[in-house]
Amino acid sequence: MDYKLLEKLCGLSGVSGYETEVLSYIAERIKDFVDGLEYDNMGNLIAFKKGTEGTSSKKILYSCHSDEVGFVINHIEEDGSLLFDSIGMDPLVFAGKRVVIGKNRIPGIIATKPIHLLSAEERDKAPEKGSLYIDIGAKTKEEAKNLGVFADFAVFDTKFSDFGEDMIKSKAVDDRIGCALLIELIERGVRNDSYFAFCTAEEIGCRGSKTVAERIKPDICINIESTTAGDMPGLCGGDRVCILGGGAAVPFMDGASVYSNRLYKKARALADKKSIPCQTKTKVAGGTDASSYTKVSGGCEVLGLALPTRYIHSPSCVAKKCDIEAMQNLLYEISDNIGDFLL
Amino acid sequence: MESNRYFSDIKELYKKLSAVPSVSGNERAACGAICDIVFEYTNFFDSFEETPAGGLLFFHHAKKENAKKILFDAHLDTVGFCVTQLLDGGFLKVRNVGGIDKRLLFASDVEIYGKNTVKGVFVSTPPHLSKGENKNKLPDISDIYVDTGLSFEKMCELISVGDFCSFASSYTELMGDIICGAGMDDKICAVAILIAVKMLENDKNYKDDNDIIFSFSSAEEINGSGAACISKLCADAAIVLDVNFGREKGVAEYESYKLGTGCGVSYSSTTSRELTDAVIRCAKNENIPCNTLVEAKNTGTNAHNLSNSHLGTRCCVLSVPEKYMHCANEAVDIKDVLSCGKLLCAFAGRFNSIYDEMNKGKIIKPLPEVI
Repeated sequence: MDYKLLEKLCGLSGVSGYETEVLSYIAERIKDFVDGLEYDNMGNLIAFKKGTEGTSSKKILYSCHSDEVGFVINHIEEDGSLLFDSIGMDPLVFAGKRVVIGKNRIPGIIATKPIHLLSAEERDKAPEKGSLYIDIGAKTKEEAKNLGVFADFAVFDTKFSDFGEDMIKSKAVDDRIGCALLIELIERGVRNDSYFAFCTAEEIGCRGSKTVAERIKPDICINIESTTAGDMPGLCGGDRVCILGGGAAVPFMDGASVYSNRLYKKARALADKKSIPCQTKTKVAGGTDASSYTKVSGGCEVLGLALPTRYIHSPSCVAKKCDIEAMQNLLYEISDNIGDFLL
Repeated sequence: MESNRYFSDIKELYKKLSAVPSVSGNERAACGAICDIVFEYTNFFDSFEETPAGGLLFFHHAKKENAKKILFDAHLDTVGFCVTQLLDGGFLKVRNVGGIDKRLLFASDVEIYGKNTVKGVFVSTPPHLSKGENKNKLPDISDIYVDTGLSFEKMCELISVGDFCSFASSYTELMGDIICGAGMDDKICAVAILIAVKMLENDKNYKDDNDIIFSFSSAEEINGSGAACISKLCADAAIVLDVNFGREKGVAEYESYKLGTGCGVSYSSTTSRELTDAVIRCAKNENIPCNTLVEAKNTGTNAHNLSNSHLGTRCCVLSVPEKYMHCANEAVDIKDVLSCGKLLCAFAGRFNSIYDEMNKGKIIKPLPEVI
């Protein structure tokens, strides 16, 4: 994995519904490596790449999502403070954090009252969503309005960095890791003709992938995600879902889909055979774009590959480089042996 | 004055459309009467079609071949009730179809669409009979009976289980330019579309090089399935019209529009940003009063399903601000309806450049055709 690429992707802004910055970067980067490249009506970026061994009898799709959790400014108050709605998060992770708004990356702080002024009851409770606002330093409504922040989006202002031993910490690992892996797969090449989707609006109900599924009608889909890892004090056994350092997570099921059991077993067996660290998700939770692909008319088998990530949907997602390498190795092995995965 | 002419058109069209019952699930019964109203008002549409889901599509074909398709959508269905049980003494049990505030039902007039339209009233317990501790506790809608005043036999002759009911339509005007009545959601938006096509019809400079489809769709109030159904039209752009919250006491500024200050356009992560920006630019260029709101994750309109069903349709949500939504007396300002109409008209006139702008760079290298 080229960590400079991952860093670049994680640093771009792409709240659900505002993925342009991420997708235009990807389009520019891959356009010379693909044979077809289009945006659809939902804004999804779909690529087609010819394989070195030509076409196969089945349509193969690799998919990931380009959007991330974040905020949308929905009102400017008379005093210049900004009200907002959050996408995909609880107030506990965003209260007091720093954000940047829009293309011009206007910095702001998600404001909170100082502890001295909180009542005893307030101190023990998560802040209520409606009580928070973003302070950009504007003194009046007019001043904020002139910056064009109304209806604009905001993301966490955190830097991608190395962390601990062999780890990284960043915003938006979910799912820029998927974008990075698919970009590198495209640049490396595939044996069989394949489609690649960089989907929009996954975090608000897997919306973009629905039209990709309708358009491409894949027979087999490999969906690349970042998934929650609960390997922290207080959680044990299956409740940890998956663990950092345990390798690529291949789910058999999540809160929204049951993955193809045939593909699940094949992927696990392939990982064993090639000695690639691999685990499954031990708790049925969450949902992914797989939920759209499992509903393709005519049927589609879906395989999930997910990077175990601590604190997803927060400004500080933590993941382990050896898991990223495992993800990439397993993805390449699956791609090179895709013939064995087709029915 | 030109506006005044449209003012009376708006009132008359609303009165006519609201007089045709169309509770979600029973839209088909309304189709004939709705077609008559549309074709009596305008010659703009060349043909119409009923969708399998019970919605209506009116088509205007452009003068040229392979024209681009603009879709204007409003929903035909309204909230209401459905009869579930016939009881002794001429009483009925009903359940709600769509979101109904049960606090407002007691002693409300209702119409039951049986063999004939039968008048009914929701029962209410007079203060003399209500017991202290239960006074403020509300029963479920299914336990608030409707009194028809008929004998059991007569009632059974006229009404069957499964018949639809809705608030009795009762048009009235308040001060200023406020009109109110039942089923304004979303028939007032259909009125705005009809006003717009009338303006196009009357405009000698209108180029007429785009197909325009008016979808009066079904089932918005129950599950939005009517919107999914029209996605197969593959329109090049859709303006989805629906009422949105008018400012009332207790309703915040960020979630509502002040009546009389113009039409509303919603920004949302679920609709097309490019199209939304283009519509807002249209309003600015033509000096049409227009306000904006953010409805981040769901606009609660047909755009939610239309935008990502089938191959996807680019949607923009355009609103008539409305107070007292889903009540027997929904209120809107006629000026805002007119603004909506004007904006649709301006949009149609500029669509070719909007289309080019939206699709710039969309196809970088064509994908292979997928069968």
